Formats: sequence, C-alpha cells, structure tokens
Amino acid sequence: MVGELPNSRAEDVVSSAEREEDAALARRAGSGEAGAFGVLYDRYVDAVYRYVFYRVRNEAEAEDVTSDVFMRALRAIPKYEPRQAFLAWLYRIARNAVIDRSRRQAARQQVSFEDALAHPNADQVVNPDAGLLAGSDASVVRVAMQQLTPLQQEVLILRYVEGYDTKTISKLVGKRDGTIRGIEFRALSALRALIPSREAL
Amino acid sequence: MSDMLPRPKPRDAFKRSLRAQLMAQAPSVLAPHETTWTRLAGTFLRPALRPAMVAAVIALLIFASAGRAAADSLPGDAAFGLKVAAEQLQLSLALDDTTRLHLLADQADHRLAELVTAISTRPSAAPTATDAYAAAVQRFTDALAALQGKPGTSADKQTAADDVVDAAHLRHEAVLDELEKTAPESAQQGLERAREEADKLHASGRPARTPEPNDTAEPTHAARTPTPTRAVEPSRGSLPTGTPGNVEERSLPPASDHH
Repeated sequence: MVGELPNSRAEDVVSSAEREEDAALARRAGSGEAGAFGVLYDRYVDAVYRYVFYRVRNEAEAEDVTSDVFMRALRAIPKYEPRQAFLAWLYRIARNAVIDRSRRQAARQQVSFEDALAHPNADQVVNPDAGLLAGSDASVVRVAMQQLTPLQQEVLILRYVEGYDTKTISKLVGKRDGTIRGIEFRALSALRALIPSREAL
Repeated sequence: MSDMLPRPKPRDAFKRSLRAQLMAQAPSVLAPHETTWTRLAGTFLRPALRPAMVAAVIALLIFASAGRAAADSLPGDAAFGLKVAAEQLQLSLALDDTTRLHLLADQADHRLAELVTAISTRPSAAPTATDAYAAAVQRFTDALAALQGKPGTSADKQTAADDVVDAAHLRHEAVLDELEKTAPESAQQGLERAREEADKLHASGRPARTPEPNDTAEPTHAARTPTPTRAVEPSRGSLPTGTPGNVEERSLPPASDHH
C-alpha cells in the first residue's frame, strides 16, 4: 500500500541548507526584522494552509486558522529554537490551533475529501498510492475520515497531500518512523473497514 | 470520484491580506518585551534597596555550596527538599498572580528536566520524579484555574495566562517527543505517564477559562481580523539560570517571558 508518491518531497523539510536558511531567517525575524518573517511566511503559507484545510474542511475556516497560526508564530518566533525544522514548528502550532478551534466549536467540522476535490484552486494532485479513494463515494470517504483520530488524519494528510515519506513525517510530528508507519497502516485499515464497498483497499 | 487528492491553494487575496496584517503587526509584536526578571531587577536595583540586595547576595554566597548540591538533586534525594524550599520561597515572594504562574511554569520545567535526567541516568528515580512532575503540573494548572476564576481578572490577563500554559505544553511535548526517541524500552511506560501529565497542560485538558465576549460566537469569516492573541511559544533552550533551585539538567526550554 505504501509506495513512492509522485510529488514525494522527503528532503524538503530536512535538507540542511534550507534548514539553515530558515534558521537564519527566524533568528533575524526574532530580532525584530519583519521582512525576514515575511520571507518565511511566503515560503510556508501554502503548506500550512493545505494542512489546516484538510483538518477543518472548508475554505473560510482554513483561512481563519491559517491566520491564527501565523499570528501565533509571529508572537513566538523570538523563542524559536532551530533544533526543530521551521516547518515542523509551524505544523506543531497549526496542530494546536486546529485542536483549540475544534474544542470551541459546537458542531465540529471535519476533513472532507469531497470538499477538497471541489476546491476552486485545487490545481495539483497526488496519487494516494493504491487508489485509496478510487471507486468510493466521496460522502462515504468523508464519513470514514471523520472517524479517524486527529493523528491518523494528520499522517494521511502529510503522506497523501504533502507527499512526505514516513521518515520525514516522523520528524514533523515528533514520533518514531515505525510509529508513523503503524499509524498510517492503522488509518488505512480503519478506512478499509469503514468503507465496506472498497474491495481493493 | 477521482482517486487523486488535491492540494488546495489559498486565495491570493487572502495571502496578500494576511501578509499585510502580519507585516503591520510585526514591529510591535517583535519589539523586545520587559520580562519578569528585568522588572524584578529594576525593582531590586533601586538605590534604597541596594543594602538589602547586598545582604541577600552575601547570604546567597554562603549557601551557594549547599545550594549546588540541592540543585543537582533529583526527587527523592535528601537535598531535594532544599531545592523545593527555595522554590517555595520564590513563590511566596511573587509580586502578583502572573509572576506566580510563571514561577510555577519554571518549576514544572525543572521537574520535567529532572524526570528526563532520571529516565536517562537513574531509572530507579524515575517513578518519584514522575510523581514530582505530576504534582508540579497540578500546581501549575491549579494556579491557572485560580487566576482565571478570580473576580476582576481581565480578559487580557486570562489570555496571557493561557499563553503561559500553552507555551509550557508545547515545550513539554517537544521534550517528551525527543526523549521518546532515545529512551530505553523499559522507560516507555514512565514516559507515557509523563506524557499524560503533560497533556493536562493542553487547553483540552484543563478547566475552561471564563468566556470572553468574543468566545460566545465564532466571528464570521468575512469579519475576522486575526489578532495576535493566545500565542503559543514552542521555544527550546536551556533552563533559566541564576534562580534558586536551578538545575543543569538536560536541555529544556525556558518558560515564556513574563509580560
């Protein structure tokens, strides 16, 4: 089930050159240089938005939470410690922002692949490996996704939307590589069980 | 239905607007803030207080050797009581609730650092260290609840208090994540328990604060103007130095600055 994804970017968040550049920008931003923060924003706003979008489902909420994430990041950047990749640090903030938001919502809205497919600006796609969604009704997939744990959703998003390999995801979410593979396996197994019509999963 | 997953992109107008807001707020947000320590330093370095300060420094020097032994101690050690006493003294001297909360955040950091040391170097001390960590987290969240339940506490103060605990949660989560990668299998159970305690620092695991007017309903998307509130600070670094009871354990992020 797990294979190379077309847009696999395993080294994106771990390449030392980029990481050093991010760290330098973060240091400058933390020292009060707004422009440096702007560069980091330009570099990562799309990734944060995608991550948030799949966790909150609709575009308006995704924009709201993305705004919140970068405002939090702006406040926190003087204390950013480059031991952690900048994008991983942003994902951590995003994860907490999503959790805080869902806690405050009376009716929680969840990930919807159906909405994602209908997104007006969706211009790039990745192949979710063994045709995870192929042949399944979108509404069924949506219901199934809602029943996954937040961490399972997160791993699937990073794997099948961002195209990271499990080693990179392990760095992003701070778990062991084997743990990530287990989470991915359980998430896909859960989807399999939750989508009875999908024989090929 | 397609078997392809899209990678949605944010609207250009949204990106431009958010960038402009961030750039507008950056100068004030990124300006150096006064910390509790600078505030305390300002207070104690006033001319009238200098003799008392000199006396305090001499007393500190006298007890330095004993303090060092205490600083290196772990929960369960004989010298650990001295460390706790020093921390209690700090707490009793706290000028206000916010300072107290920051001190409790520092103490929770220290307990976590001790737990890391115990798991890494002295596994037999790990259960006691975990108990001490749990107690520190409890005191920390209790102080937050007390502050937020106090009549007359402003929304800003409540939010700032939430920020302190949020930042601590992120720091502790990061430390435990790192430790999980290196800790031996035998330590995993203790680590899980520590993680459960750390999770109590997360917003979902602690008492809800008094709702602010804005909390009663989510702002509409069109009307939403992001504000830099409830910032989280997943910082990493070394323990604060120069404080009674400071320990040179493994690297642990400092508590957030005291605003």
